[in-house]
Amino acid sequence: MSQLMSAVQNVQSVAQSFDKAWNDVSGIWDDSVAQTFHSTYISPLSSEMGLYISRANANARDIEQYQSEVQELAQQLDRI
Amino acid sequence: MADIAHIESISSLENLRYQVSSGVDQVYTSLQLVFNSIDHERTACDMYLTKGQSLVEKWSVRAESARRQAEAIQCELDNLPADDDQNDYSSQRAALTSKYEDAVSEAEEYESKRDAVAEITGQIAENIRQIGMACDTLLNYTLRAESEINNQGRNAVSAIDRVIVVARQYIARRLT
Repeated sequence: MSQLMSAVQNVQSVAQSFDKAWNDVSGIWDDSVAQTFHSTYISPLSSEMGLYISRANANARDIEQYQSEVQELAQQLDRI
Repeated sequence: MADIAHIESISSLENLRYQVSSGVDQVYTSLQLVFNSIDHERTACDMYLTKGQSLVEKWSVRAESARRQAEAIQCELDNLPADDDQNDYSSQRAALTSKYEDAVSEAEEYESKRDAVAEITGQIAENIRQIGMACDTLLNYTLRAESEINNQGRNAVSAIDRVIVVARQYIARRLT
């Protein structure tokens, strides 16, 4: 796995822990307060991160594919 | 946010603040790793391009040298006097012809390698261009995510801070 793909997956893992941490602690709020806070701050951030991770994963996969092709081409160079 | 009537514990709120704040910091830090990795990916393949370009140069130089050698031999052949009753140049002619053919064959071999290497180097350059474009796109996504984390994430922490202040005032009023 490339360094880039690993970095993107790290973001994904951290963002998931963030969501989980929120779920763990949100119980201390009154439901309506928690909902307001969630919809104001957590939800937009969570969707933005979800969108980012989905795009970044696809992008990192493309870069990984291009790199793998470059390495294959470099091996062809060695064989000439 | 103003309704704090049901908030029972400042320490629970502080725990919430810690969770949100540390989550935001961790996401921010992990995004910095993505930035670093983008820089790394941009340069990782450049060495293959440099290698390809130097190989193209190497085989070009050899091919040109072999071509020049073939031309020189051709000149020698052209300048060889015609055979007459006293002089027979056929063995020299045959030797030069053989040397000429070897030089041409060598030049063709080097030219073929030069062309093959140039073709592969072109493909490497195209892939590097695609990697650069994909890195630019990812950089833009990451900058946006970083900005969101900075704005929304830090706003969330500030909002909890404000609630903690109000909750402390509320509890203080209840205690007095």
